Formats: sequence, structure tokens, C-alpha cells
Amino acid sequence: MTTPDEVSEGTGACRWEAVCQVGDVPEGEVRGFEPAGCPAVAIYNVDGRFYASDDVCTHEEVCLSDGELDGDIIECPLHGGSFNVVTGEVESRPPRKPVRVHETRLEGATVQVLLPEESPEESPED
Amino acid sequence: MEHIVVVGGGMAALESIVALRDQGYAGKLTLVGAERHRPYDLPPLSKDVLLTDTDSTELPAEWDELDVELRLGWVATGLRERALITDQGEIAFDGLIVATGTAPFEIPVDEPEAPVCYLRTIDDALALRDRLVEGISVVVVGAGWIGAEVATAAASRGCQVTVVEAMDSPLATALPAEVGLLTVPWYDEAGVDLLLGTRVQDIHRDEVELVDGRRLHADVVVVGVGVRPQTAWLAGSGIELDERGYVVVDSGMRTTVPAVVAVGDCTAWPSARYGKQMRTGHWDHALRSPAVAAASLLGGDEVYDPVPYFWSDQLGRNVQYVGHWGEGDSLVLRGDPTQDAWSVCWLAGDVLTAVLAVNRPRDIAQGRKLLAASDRIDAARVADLTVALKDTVQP
Repeated sequence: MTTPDEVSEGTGACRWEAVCQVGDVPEGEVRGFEPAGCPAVAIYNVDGRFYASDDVCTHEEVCLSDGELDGDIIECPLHGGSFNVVTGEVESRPPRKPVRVHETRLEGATVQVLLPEESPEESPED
Repeated sequence: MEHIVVVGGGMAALESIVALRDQGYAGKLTLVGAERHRPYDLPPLSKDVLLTDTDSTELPAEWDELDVELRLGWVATGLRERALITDQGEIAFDGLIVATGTAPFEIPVDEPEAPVCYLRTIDDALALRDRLVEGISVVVVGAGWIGAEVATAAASRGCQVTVVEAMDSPLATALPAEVGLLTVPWYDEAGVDLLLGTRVQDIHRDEVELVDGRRLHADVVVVGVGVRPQTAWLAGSGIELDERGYVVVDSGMRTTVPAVVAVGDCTAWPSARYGKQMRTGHWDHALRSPAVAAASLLGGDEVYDPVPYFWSDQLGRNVQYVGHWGEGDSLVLRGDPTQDAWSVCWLAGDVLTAVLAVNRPRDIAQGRKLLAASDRIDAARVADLTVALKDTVQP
């Protein structure tokens, strides 16, 4: 339910994607979104600021958006691993690899995220 | 310290190595593992490996960077002062980390051709998966965590599955009967027969004979009735073992022999938090105890006192547990246990002691924080699923 944005930041395979509305992610919470043609993304509302990361834990295939946001730390719903949502760095094990974070910006009430395009075979069919 | 030897082949062994290097140890490191595999993960053996075509659960590691001499297929057989004895010779060390884990309890069976399997190693799991062919009859002995997961996989592969449990409820060693019984409908739903309060008399070539005289046809019998520590090789070493053979360690994971620490499943560790010696064969313990043990070996003084945590994926549900419940704690049900997602909380007075969550991971994440803080919580609000667990703290 997202519309690709025409705006290009000149980063090659990345594009600004309108992922959700400000009201979709209450303060202190996280929600998962699946913009067409892009990797699933988790949007975090930390004290009114919006951050974004890949929605998959780097440890196992689990949606971070099913986890628990505490300040700027997202705890994975399984195994108790956690990441800093601003930097993507591992806060506590088991994950070893940081989670990929994405730039965000607000256009009015729309949260836009600078997302890489997925390879065509992973893209959902139109 | 110039040479540290780690004995074991699981995550606790690998984490020990990683922790030593992370903490600046630059000396020689040797890993001695009885199996020919590099350290691999155990939880997926009863999940992904049996359910899917996953063939390896090897743990990712930067072996070149870690600079470890691998002695795989070497079996530790004894220990004397500053030397590990193996079936392929002695290895002198300055420091030793014992991470030899546990092995399944075996039940005595006379019939040499009885189709009995155990599940502990990757080789066990791959061999069992090959045998779980559609249409065969599988009897699982033990409705514990492993039994429930094996039954899940066997049923999903189209086997006729019967689980035989001696106790009167599933998961009886971990959970009170009134909680374990809440999982009984899951077996029905998965098409698995569950026989509670039923003991096995003997296992024959193609039958399981029960104490009450019944006989169950079985092409494969999987036994999951608990584990014992793999510590027989430490007999006579001076390392104290408890009455069940677990390595007794202090709060820094030190054994009773200098320069020898122990980690993971094979340890009995003192919990200040719970005021008792704990034996938790949990993955989380294998993950977190090595950093403390490595620090102790390198002269540090860290204290290990975690809140226990584990999970199981069984019969279509994700089950997670955090904390440690005690006799006399009150039970508060969160939600309707006939539904998909619910939790059980244990309270001592008005302090949370443990949470079991079925398909409710946020209760675990929030419960973990409440457990760590020992906040007073409001039981009536805990029982209300519309209230987030973190919002049950008393004002």
C-alpha cells in the first residue's frame, strides 16, 4: 500500500520510498512494512523521531517488528538479541552482525525511507 | 597464560574461543572436539533439521582470525595437572575450558534390532530425518521439549506419531502439571496421540511394550527422557562434580581446580538471584556463560547470575520461558489458553518470578525487564491481555 517516490538521491540502487504515515507507528513502538520491490522494513518511533532498519534479525529469520522497542533499542522477539535502531549496532547477543539501518525523512505526515531496490526475482509480481 | 585448551564441540566451546580473543587473549588456542564437525548449533537439530532439508547447523565463525588449532575427532579421556588426556595423546595447557555438554539418558533395551534413536548430534538428527518416512509409525518416549519437537517433525512428515510420557502432564520436569496440561490439545490438533502416565516396559524389534501390557507398533522409537552431563572423563581429576555429575563452578564459572573453568550445559552454577545451584541446559546459558569463564581464566572477576531463558517451537507454537518459578508462587493466566496466543506468569507475592509465553514474544521481552528490576506488579492487570505486561507495574 505504498507508492514509489519519483525522487532519486543519486545513490544508484536506492530510492526514497513512502513507507507509512506518522500515525501508523505510535511513539515508543515499532511496526513492520513491506514496500513493493524493497526489503521488508521496520519503522521505529523513538520520542517522535522515526528510524528504519531491515525487518529481519541478523541472527535468524525473525521479524524485528514483532519485537519490543525500549528507548532506541529493539529486542528481537526470539532469543533476546537486541540492536540499537539508530546505528544498527548489536546491543546484546546472540546476533553478531549489525542490522542494516536506513535513512528516513518526513514529507508532511508521510515517513519516507531510503531503501535499496531488491533484485527482480525477489520482487513481488505486480 | 600461553596455551588455553577448550574441550567441547558446541556453542559454549565456540563462544569461549570468541570471548578469549575478544578479551585480548593472544596466546595459543586449541579446540578439542569429540565429533568431527566444527562447533554447531543444537536447537535446530530438533527443529529445522528434522522439518526441512537443512543439513548443517555449523556456527558461523572467523576461524582464520580466531587462530585456533582444531583437534576434531579427539576424545578427552582424562585430566591431570596442566594436561588434557585424549584418545590421541596428551595436550599440555596453562588454562582449560570444559564445555563437553550433555548426552541423552539411554534406556536399557535387550533387543539388538530395536529401532531406538536418540537425538543429540547433527549425525543423530540427519539419520533420524532419513527414517521419518511418510506412513510409518513413530513412538516418541518422553513428552519433554525434545519429545514435543520430534513429534512435531514426525507428524509433519506424515508419520503416525504416539508420544508416551511417564508423568501425568507434558513438560513435567520444567512446568507444573496445570501448565503442562494446557499443551495437551496441541497434540490432538497435530494428529499426535499422547499417552500420559504411561510407562514403557520394553522396546522390541517393531513394538513398544507398555507397563500396562499394551503394545504399540513402532517402526522408529525416539527416546527423549532427559540428559546427563558428559563429565565421566573428569573422574579423579580433582574437579568437583555434583551428585548428578555436573561440574560444580563458582560465580565466575571456575571449577575446584585452578586454571580450569567450565561453561554451558555440563555445569552446576550458583545463582545468587535464586539462592541455589542451577543446572540449566539452555542455549542461552551456553551463549552467555563463556564470557564470564574466559574473564576468570584471564584473571578477571566477573559474576555470572543470569535470568534463565529458553524457547521451543512445538506443535505449531512458539513457546518461550524466562525466569525461574518456585514452589508456592502463584500462577496468573494471561489470555485464553485454548487460543493461539497466551501466557502464564508466576508471582511470588507481587513480584514476577517467571513468564511462559505461547506466541507472545513481547511478554518475554517485557517480562525479562520486570524480572531484572523485581518491580512490584498488579496481578489483576497481569491477567488482562489488553494491558501490556510492562504496564502492570504498581504505581
